[in-house]
Amino acid sequence: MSSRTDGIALPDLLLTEAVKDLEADTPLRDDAALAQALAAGDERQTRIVQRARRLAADTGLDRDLARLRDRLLLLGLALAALGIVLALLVAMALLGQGRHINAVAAIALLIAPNLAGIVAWALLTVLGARSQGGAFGRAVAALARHRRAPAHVRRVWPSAARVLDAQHLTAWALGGLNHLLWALVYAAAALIVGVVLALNQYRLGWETTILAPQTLHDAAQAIAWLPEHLGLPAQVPEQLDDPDASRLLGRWLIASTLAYGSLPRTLLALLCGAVLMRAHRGTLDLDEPYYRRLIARFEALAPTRVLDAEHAAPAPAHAAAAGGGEPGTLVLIGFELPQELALPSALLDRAAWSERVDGGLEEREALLRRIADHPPARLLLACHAPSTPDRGTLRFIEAARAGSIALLLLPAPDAAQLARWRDWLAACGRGDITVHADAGVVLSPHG
Amino acid sequence: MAERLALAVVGHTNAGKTSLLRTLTRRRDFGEVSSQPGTTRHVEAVELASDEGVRLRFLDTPGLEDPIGLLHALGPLRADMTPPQRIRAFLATRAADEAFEQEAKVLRALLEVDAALFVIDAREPVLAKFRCEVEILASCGRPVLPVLNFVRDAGSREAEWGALLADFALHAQVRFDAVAPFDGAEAQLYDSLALLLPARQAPLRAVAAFVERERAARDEAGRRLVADALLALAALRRTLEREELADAARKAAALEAFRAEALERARRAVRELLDLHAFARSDAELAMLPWLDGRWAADLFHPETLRDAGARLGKGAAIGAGVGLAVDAATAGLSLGAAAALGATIGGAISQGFGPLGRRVADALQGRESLSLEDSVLLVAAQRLLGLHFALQARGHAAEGRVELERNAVAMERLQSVLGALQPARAHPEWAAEDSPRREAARRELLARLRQVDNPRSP
Repeated sequence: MSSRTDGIALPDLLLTEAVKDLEADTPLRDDAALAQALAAGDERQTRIVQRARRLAADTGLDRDLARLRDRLLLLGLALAALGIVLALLVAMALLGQGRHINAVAAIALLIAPNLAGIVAWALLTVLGARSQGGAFGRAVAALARHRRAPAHVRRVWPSAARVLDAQHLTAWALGGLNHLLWALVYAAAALIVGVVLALNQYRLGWETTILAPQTLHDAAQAIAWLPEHLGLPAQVPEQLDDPDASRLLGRWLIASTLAYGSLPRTLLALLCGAVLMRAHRGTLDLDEPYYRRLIARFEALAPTRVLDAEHAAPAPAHAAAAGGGEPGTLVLIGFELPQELALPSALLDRAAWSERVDGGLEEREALLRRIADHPPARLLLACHAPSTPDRGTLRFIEAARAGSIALLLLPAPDAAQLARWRDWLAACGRGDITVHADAGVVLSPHG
Repeated sequence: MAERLALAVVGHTNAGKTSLLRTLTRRRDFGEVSSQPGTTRHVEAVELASDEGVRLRFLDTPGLEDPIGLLHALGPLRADMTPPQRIRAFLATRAADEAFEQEAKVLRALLEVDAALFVIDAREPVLAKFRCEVEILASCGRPVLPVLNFVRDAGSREAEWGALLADFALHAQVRFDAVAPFDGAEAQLYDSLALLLPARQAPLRAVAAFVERERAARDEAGRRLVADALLALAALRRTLEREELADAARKAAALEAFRAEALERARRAVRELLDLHAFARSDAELAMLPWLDGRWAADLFHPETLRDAGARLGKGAAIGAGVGLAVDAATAGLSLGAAAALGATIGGAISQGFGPLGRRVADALQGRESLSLEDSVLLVAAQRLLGLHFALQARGHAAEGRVELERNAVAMERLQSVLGALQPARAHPEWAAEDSPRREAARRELLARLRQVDNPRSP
């Protein structure tokens, strides 16, 4: 149909797939929806989506979808709350017990799991890009299908999961949520640590038994590289017994939390968002039997138009001059017969004269003149049984002047061919003409 | 590419013009088709729209019934006019409104279109009237593509017709059987048209590619449909309680209900295949299919059929009690028993996890038995459904008469691999009703094997 669209918006895709699931066992009544879809345009996907929208509205599926969206929003808020709790835990881990904080150990505790988490997500995304969704997505889909899941979730979620899977978006969607949560956690943790350090006096430093203190100092310096480049205050004191050492290390700790915790997670969340935004249009798999059947139905509904209507019945042919003719004479005409088909010899013996006519105009008129000159009592027209009778044949019959006219079908016709010729003569108003299937009958005294 | 082309379909009465259009547009309901001459008495338009925006408008015309008389009525070609001018002059006469009213419709349509498809019943002897017909059509100033219909008939006179058409400079010809089209005949028809209409080559080639794409898409969809049905049948399972098994009447009723459920699923696949290929379910001819009436049951669960299928599976009498003891028609095709179910489940457990296995073990311990379809039934269902898909694919939308499944039957040996891919479904009764990623994976595997089964009729 007309030019292909760029794709279908994700919500529409989801709705269409949900309607497909709903119709899996018993198709919905869709007369109105089909008509509306046909009016929506020529493009197949547009039509299918339009039909699904209407059916979704009729069956309350669109409300289910809206409810699911609301629930997801609530879930997001719950996740944010969880994030705050996690942030408190992180802050407690950073601040440790007592008033003495090992800054390097604290930041290692913070960076290591975060970087490990990021690497794990990246590996899963790259490796899982080909497989259909991650284990988590599968688990959620299985839960949503569970008997005890709310009806609106059961009706919408499986198709939503399938759409995301088909678009290879599950990993990005789940990853986006995950990164957003952790970005929030680390930002909140930095805030909490900041507040705590602002209002309490802590001693920050580092301790070691087997390493040289300089090693830890170098490590702290290396960690400070990123936040310093980002313009955050992350200066590492030269000596731990400097009066400013704890103050500087406190700022270093907060800056590092933001630089290695919040920042990468925020950037990754943005990346996931960008991927989702870019892929927010998808296409239907039109090779699926369900969609193919819909396409077949749409095509069957395309209107046909009568352009040059029948405005007059074919003019009734003028009646033949019946009766008369030279008594007892039989004339046999082979009318438009294939060359290899011979006229029955018994009939040829019996006939006063016979002729074959291919149907050319001059030939035909000469023959008609010959008949008119000496009209026979019986004119037997041998016609090709499998051929379709046409108006040309009728015109010849009408023009032939003979006592009576009969048709003989050659080769011996089957019942359908015989009926066709008889019905045709009746339809032309010449039911009086006998159609013979057998040359023997013509020769018999009653023939 | 938004382009429009108009094509007139012309020819002698009853040559199969409307049939050709039904097949080209896949519209079984288009126009009226009968063996009676002059069934189409008006000019009717129907469109074929490609996905790239090319619209072909076909004009179905009444048959030319008296070309000799018409050629005479057109009068001689005067030196001061071109052949199309002669046609226009004739259309202005009274004869065009009266004696030759139908023929005039054909000529009017011809003057409006980009090209004409000239449908010829190749079984007809080449007579003077047909020579006149070719002469008239060739003189309308439009490209004419002769379409030889019924060329597969024993009485076809294709060579004679080819010679006659060549005499009138109609060298490009297409063989097309409206009832049982050749593979790729549609695309070939549009490609030939493209040669006749150099200026419209791009859109016509696009349509040729489009119909090929559509054919491939329908083939894929049909195979998916068969895969879904087979998975659902293989997954079909019912657990019978100990008490149900003890009571002969209740057991018989349960078996019958299970069989009915299987048949309904298979029937649904038949209906969907008809929909997919745009054949109406109400078609009287199609209703003659053994599959849509009661004989279906006899076919799918017929002990003879199943025994045959079992033998081909290489398992012979071991296929199951029902088939082994032909007298017990009540259980033919059904596998009943904890042990059999357990075996199938263990087989599937390696790839499918051990959850179902535990359930089966529990069933076995509590004296419950599990009812499912035997491999032989699945094999027969696969053969019949694929055969129907192939038969409908090769069937013209003008075809009358019953669908010949026999000609499209796939050898059961070739379906062995399909059967293998169905086994995982035995461990997942829930697949009979709903989708899941695991079922998707099994479906992909099954489809890969179904795609390797070719239509036995195509070379």
